[in-house]
Amino acid sequence: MLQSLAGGSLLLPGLLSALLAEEESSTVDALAPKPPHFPAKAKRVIFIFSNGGVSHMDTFDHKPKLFAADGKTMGIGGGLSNQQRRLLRPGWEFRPGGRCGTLVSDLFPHLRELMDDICLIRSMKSDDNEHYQATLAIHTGSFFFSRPSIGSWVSYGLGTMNRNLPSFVVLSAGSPYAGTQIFNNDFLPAYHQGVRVVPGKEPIANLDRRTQPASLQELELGLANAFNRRHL
Amino acid sequence: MRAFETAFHMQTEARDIFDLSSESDQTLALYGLQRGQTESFGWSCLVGRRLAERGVRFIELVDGSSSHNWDQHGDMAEHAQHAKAIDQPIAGLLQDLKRTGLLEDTLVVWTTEFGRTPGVDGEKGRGHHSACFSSWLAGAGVKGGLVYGATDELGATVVENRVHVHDFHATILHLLGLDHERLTFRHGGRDYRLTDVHGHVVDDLLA
Repeated sequence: MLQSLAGGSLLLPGLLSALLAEEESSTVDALAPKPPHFPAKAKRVIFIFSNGGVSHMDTFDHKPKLFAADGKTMGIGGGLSNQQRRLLRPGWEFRPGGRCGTLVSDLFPHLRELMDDICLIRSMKSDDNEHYQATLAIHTGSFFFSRPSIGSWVSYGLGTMNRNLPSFVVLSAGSPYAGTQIFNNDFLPAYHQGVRVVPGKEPIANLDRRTQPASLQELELGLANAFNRRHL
Repeated sequence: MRAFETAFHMQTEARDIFDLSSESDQTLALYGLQRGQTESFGWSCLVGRRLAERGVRFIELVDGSSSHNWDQHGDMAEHAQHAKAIDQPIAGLLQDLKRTGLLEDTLVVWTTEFGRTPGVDGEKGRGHHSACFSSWLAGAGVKGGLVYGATDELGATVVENRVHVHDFHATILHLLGLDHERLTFRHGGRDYRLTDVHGHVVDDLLA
């Protein structure tokens, strides 16, 4: 990997020799692309997460009887958290989208047109009614304890296709429920951690070098690497 | 040292990712973006496509935060502003991925942490509801145009083809060619999985 980068002169010579030495000394290149367990079409994932709990009956799950039952108080089983409350009708009309004709509410008129490309699941189930736990779970599979994010697991399983960028990138304007735990590597090696990008004028903090000449940074990295090897 | 090395490379390559000047007006419009705009969910979606085409394995786009989000206890009408912020950008992303051929080998996932109650909360809001909610998949390896599973007539509970969070994860890993039972990491004396001891791949969603 490094040899090929050197051909393209992406690495500076001094840093290159240090890194080559490191690469030779390590047995496995942990972020190298790895073959999957079995052939698959998908090579990457774009995972979109909407914070807060999107109402299914107001968006993608059409419930005509709920429109009709507006205001009635009913006992409803099945894990409903407020069983004896007044029912509230959905606030938006539903219309068919695409050739498949899947009903989607007026909250998503653009996505509705693309329902032929979308595989909709109306039967998702979680186990906790609190934001923090449920958000942690949809990202890590764990409701209560910090565990590696699904993005970290995928990075661990498949490696990366571009060593100039992190294998797992998170674009997040604010801090989500459960904070950085939702893109944390936890016990997986640190290079599988999600790198957060904040929309705005400076998406990644400190991307600019403190000292302009790259050669100075190269010396710093070389020194750190030397210490690191002595430590190992 | 891996992290330092990646950071070193990012100084050149990452800068290019956020420079949207090479994107056409037509592309910016797909995402609902004005030229020069660096905020909004549309910006995240477009940068997401640029990360995807540069080989980033897993890209997460977070809509909202713990303080500004879809948690409408008091008035459901506020769902409108949250939907408006993401509807066109996500639709633009899907169209752009399709146009550039990336959708062939990219899996797009949309989800939230739970649904909301059929019963009222506060004046005109709804409460937290983990018993059922909706999510979707698009792109590589999934059946487009499919509706899977169902809730009861009021949307209170799942009555058909339940997809638990663990099943969702197992299916996403499967779509990437990973067996959720074999993707393990030994820590603290035992092998861990994303799905712990749970999870079934939902075969009916696979193209």
